[in-house]
Amino acid sequence: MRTDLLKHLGRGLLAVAAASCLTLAHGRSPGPAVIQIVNGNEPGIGFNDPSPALPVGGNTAATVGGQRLAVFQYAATLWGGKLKSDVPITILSTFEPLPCTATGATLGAAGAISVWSDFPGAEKPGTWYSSALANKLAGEDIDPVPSPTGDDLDIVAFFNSDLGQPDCLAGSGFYLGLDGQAPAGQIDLLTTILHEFGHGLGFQTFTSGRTGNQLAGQPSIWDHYLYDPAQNKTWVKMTAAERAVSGITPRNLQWYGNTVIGKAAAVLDRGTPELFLTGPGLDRTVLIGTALFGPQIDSVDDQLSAQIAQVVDQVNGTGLACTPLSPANATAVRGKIALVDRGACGFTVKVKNAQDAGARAVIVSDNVPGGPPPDLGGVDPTITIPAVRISLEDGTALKASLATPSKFGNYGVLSFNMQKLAGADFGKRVFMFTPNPFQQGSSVSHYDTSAKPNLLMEPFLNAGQPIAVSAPKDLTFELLKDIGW
Amino acid sequence: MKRQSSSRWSGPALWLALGALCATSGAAAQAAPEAQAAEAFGGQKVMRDPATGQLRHAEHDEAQPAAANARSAVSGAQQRRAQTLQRFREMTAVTTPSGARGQRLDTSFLNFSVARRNADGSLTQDCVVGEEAAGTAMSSPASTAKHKEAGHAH
Repeated sequence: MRTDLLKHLGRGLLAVAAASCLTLAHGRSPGPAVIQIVNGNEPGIGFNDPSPALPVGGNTAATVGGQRLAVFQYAATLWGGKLKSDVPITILSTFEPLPCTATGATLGAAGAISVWSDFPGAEKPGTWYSSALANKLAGEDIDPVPSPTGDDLDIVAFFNSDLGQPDCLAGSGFYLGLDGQAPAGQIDLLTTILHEFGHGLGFQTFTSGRTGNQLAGQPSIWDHYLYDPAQNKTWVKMTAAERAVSGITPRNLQWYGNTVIGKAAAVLDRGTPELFLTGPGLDRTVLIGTALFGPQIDSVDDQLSAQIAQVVDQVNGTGLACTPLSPANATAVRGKIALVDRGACGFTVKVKNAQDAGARAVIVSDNVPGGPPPDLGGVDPTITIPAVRISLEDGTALKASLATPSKFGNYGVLSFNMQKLAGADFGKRVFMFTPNPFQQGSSVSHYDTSAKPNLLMEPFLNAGQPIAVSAPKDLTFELLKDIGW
Repeated sequence: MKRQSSSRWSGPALWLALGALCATSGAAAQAAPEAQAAEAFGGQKVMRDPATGQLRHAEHDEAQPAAANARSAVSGAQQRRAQTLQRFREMTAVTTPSGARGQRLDTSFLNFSVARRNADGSLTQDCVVGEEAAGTAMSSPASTAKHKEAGHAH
């Protein structure tokens, strides 16, 4: 069957990744996967763009189109080196003009063309698997209606050929190197493709995170491994309403697959910064965002325990700390943890003013609802005290506690919990991205942004991401193994 | 079972892109009614493809004779791409003789990578699922509240 495919693809077949690609392994254990990149571009554009190109980052192809193809080939090779399947994985690929503005652009898109359930070899009944994985488990292409040209496509991927041109994120084109060393202002195509191919291979639930509704009344294979400790259920055991709640409970939903759990410690840094609050109505650990400036809370020696005092410099009772603190506020925060509110000026300004007044640390209460609290951005090398952000909800609760007469007052304990991996819970179960409010398209089907080092399948692709899909640098392949790869 | 794609972004933008891809499809692709095609192109400049007779978006190098000549030869690769993207237009349920159930997905399940330039000149790159989310992410100001490497300045 696949011999016919290869014959029909003709010049469209641009890349066949993985060693010994035409020699498929037969037997009980699937052999290395063959990932085929099919060129969907017409002559002269996209992958066939003849414009000359200089070598860049290990990519020695002589044309723009050739370099684009080399990046796709490299991504296919990386994935093909990890996955096992006796059924070739076919990815229809194009470079085409896609929606753009001067300040924003659709870089590209990719995804599975179809999902399947109840096929021979399916490990979970009544459960959706993406096409490439379903084929792997079945040991054959299960799509009964391939296109008339005979190509049984599994994944489609189309990327923006206009990127970097005027009115299309001008000057910020794709970096076509293979080394992950995209200079500032350019988009690393290889990282982007690895990420999107990951989704196409199965790093995605087809159940709606917003509504909790399953696709055609069936769970996705992912839903068997999404575990909500607050509800003590996996997604497959929940009602739609329960899943919807789970999808907006920050840093709660976890991946409950043994392969990811087993490799998490080899990938993620050990230790998680935490803030424990005490006082009337409190006594709990709250989610925090850490500062990108000042001293980091990254060792057990960094523990800091001090009384909390609120800065108040606005008529509405908030404390912005955008100017040097008044004598009264300075007296209040000296030797303590200063509680200030987000808004009106940079985080570094607030923290510096609190530091100048003698504060030992700063808690910034967010001014918009939701969570988890993001990190605090900014640069100021003169800042020498730690700072964290808490959610508006926790900030409001802390202020209420501070306003409650108490014999012992309110204390904050900033510490580094070595029992937790960065981005996982005590059980090494990695958090999934479930912010509140729900982020359409990003929530659930990505790892949480608390992971350190950054993971490939976080919702926001990070500069300097290693070119890797598996441990010890990443956990994408491990999750795919959990679902059947 | 049938699931209609969202039209907010898909009308003027994504369907423009997909339409442009599909329009070069040759005879094998489904022929869309002309009125529907015009709507799909969202008022953008369109032309009638000499190979298919269908309306499509005028591509950036349309005026270049060499490129036009190249496109006049509708390749197998073009047909495959067009047919695939045509299938992406709506959800379709499939059942095989062995009892396997399938769903051909629409673009609401595609994963889009979107980049924005922030006020400070830095770039933010998000991955979102579905064309509607992509359109929103591309046009909205950088919501740095959700980014860990580029926290909000205030």
